Amino acid sequence: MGAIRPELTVLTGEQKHRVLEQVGRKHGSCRACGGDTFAVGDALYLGFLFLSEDSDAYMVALSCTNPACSAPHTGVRLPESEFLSPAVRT
Amino acid sequence: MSTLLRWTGLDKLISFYRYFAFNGPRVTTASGVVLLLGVAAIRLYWLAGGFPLPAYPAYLAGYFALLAAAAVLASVGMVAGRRPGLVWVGWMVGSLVSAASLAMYLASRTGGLPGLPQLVGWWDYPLGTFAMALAALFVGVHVTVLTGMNVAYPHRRQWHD
Amino acid sequence: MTQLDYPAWLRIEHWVNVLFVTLLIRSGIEILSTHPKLYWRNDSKPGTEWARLTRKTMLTDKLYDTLDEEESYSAILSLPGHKMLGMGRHWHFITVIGWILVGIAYYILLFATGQWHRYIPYSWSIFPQAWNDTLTYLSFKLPAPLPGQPLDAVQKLTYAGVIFILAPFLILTGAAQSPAVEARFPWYVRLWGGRQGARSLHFLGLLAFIAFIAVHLMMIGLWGWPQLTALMIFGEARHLGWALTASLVIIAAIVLVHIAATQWSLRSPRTVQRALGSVLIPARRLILRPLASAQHYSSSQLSAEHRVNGKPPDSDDYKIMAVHNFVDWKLEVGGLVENPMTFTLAELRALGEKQTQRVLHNCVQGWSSIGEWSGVPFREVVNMVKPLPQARHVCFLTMQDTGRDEPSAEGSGQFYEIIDLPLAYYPQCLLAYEMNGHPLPIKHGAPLRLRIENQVGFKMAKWIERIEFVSTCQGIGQGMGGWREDNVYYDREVEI
Ligand SMILES: [Zn+2]
Repeated sequence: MGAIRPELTVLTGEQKHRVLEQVGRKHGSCRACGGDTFAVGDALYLGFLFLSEDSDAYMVALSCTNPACSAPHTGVRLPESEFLSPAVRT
Repeated sequence: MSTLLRWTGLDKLISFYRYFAFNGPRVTTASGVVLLLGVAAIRLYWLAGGFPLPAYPAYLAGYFALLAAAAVLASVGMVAGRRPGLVWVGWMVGSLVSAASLAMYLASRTGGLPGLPQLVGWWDYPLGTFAMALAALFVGVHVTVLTGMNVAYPHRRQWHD
Repeated sequence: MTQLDYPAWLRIEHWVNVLFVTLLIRSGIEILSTHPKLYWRNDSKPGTEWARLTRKTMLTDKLYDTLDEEESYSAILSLPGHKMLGMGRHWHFITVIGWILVGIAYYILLFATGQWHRYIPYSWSIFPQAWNDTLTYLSFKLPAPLPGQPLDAVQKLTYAGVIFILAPFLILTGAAQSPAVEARFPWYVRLWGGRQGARSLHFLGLLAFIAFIAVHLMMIGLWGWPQLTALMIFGEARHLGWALTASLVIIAAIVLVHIAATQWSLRSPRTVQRALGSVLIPARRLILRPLASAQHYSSSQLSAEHRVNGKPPDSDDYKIMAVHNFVDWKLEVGGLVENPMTFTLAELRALGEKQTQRVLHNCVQGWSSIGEWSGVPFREVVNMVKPLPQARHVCFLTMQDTGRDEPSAEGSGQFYEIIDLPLAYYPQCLLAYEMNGHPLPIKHGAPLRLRIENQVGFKMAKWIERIEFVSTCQGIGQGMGGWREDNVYYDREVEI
């Protein structure tokens, strides 16, 4: 594959961890198989490019870890504050 | 008043100018300076013996000198880039000078000036018409600056789109 | 020497010219209104315009596109007004064909009959004479015409300038805005300082023409409206009362043509599109279609920023595909082909040798930029799927839902555009997956867009998901050849 697309942000381990926390908190599950364990990929800033999106919205890539999953690529929409900006731990 | 304007549709006509905006501060200022120096040059020419009458009252010579000096000073102000306040004054003085020159010329051809009855009705004078055109154009350019259609040096447009 | 009178052909040409020039002006203003900003540089970079003819300003925190910047001008100024670029283009191009034909006939007749003497000076003495005439005008008097001629020296020079310089200048700067001409003859557009130089000069030419018309009318008023219109209607200064009436009747008739064209365009744009298109489509296929792109701009000429016309698909499916770098995206190629195929992005990238082209992009609205596009030549895909003999066109279906993604445009539904099959074989017809050496950005059509360098931008579908070979445009959308053609009455065959 070619280079990473310019719009994508590569996440650090810490940021990926926060994404998984948010997915867990929201009881996110795979659209295809219903599984709830994911590997976190890159993030795409949605706020600028897409008309309907809030200005702080991101799409974060999730890959369903179920080996039998028919469509493992999915994503979660998160605001910047929940995974990217410096953590305000509660 | 504004209701009347709206009712007649004149408000749209008057605000039509807001559809025009140009970004040429140097061109704007250069045109203003050229027009104004033209106004001055014609007075200096008249002062230096180019006036079409063999003799004319001394106050007219004083007026020519004053007008030319004010026009030159205004031009200098207009290009004083570091001091925007001075630039504003330069344009204003330029418009005053131009308006005064127009008014004096028209007065000399219509009502007449003291001691110069010969000039009344004497429109057949190309340089005079030309001087009027320069002055009117200067005021016109200044109006475009005041309304924001043009910006004058050293201002710049801050357009992002 | 020929008597410089007013032969019938000259009078007819004059009034036909009035009609054509006014139609060109109004339809030209319509075209201007769709991108009411003027630049000198090819990149049309936001903020670098030297003139803005709009009151709109754009947001900075959200992607705006040039459809958002479009102005809606009054129908009094523009033909037909109300943001109908498609209609304006139809009228501009149909009229320019008529104008060029009338102009050629005029030139031929001028020189064949000796009437050119009325415009073309043949002695340097005209210049001092013109200076004297100018002084006369400045004295609020009218100069005498040149001996045995209908015009004074300034007028003669002015008419010569308008007929032999300004009119050709407008046609040449207009032609310099045709993507087909620019693609085939990049030196020609450079001659005018580039695409935006040509557009700005075309606009200044318009202003010059309007100034000429204003002074012309004023002069006729000063010299005597009844006498001069009698010359231009009856050929001699007689029946002055009738001439006055007749001139007003002719002007009223021209105004009526304008009103009719405007109303027809506003009320029934589809019939205008079909009627004028029946002339324009074959004319462009004949004249402009053969011009294949031969552009190779240098990398130093690439534009740093590119405007966009059209917004990315605002759907979760698309966003999830994008955040996974489009690994799940598939391109289906089918329809009237022997061998329907499906490609992933990786398969497309692996297909043959990557082709790269640095070219000038022309938006239908008038802005431009220079970009570097890399991808697979479309003809390679065509050769793999093998179109059936009855395939005549290629339809590109995209992931864009215009109703959802493009509130600034009329209409809704899936965006698609159709090209004629022969265009697929043009050397720079490309399925592009890279821009300026990077993966194609989302706002420019990721993961795949079309490039056909001799057409305007809207034909180059972005966010492509399916390519279908068809025998006819009928049955696809409204059947006019593309989403823009269907919904906003753009013209097909957009080599200009
Ligand atoms: Zn799954």
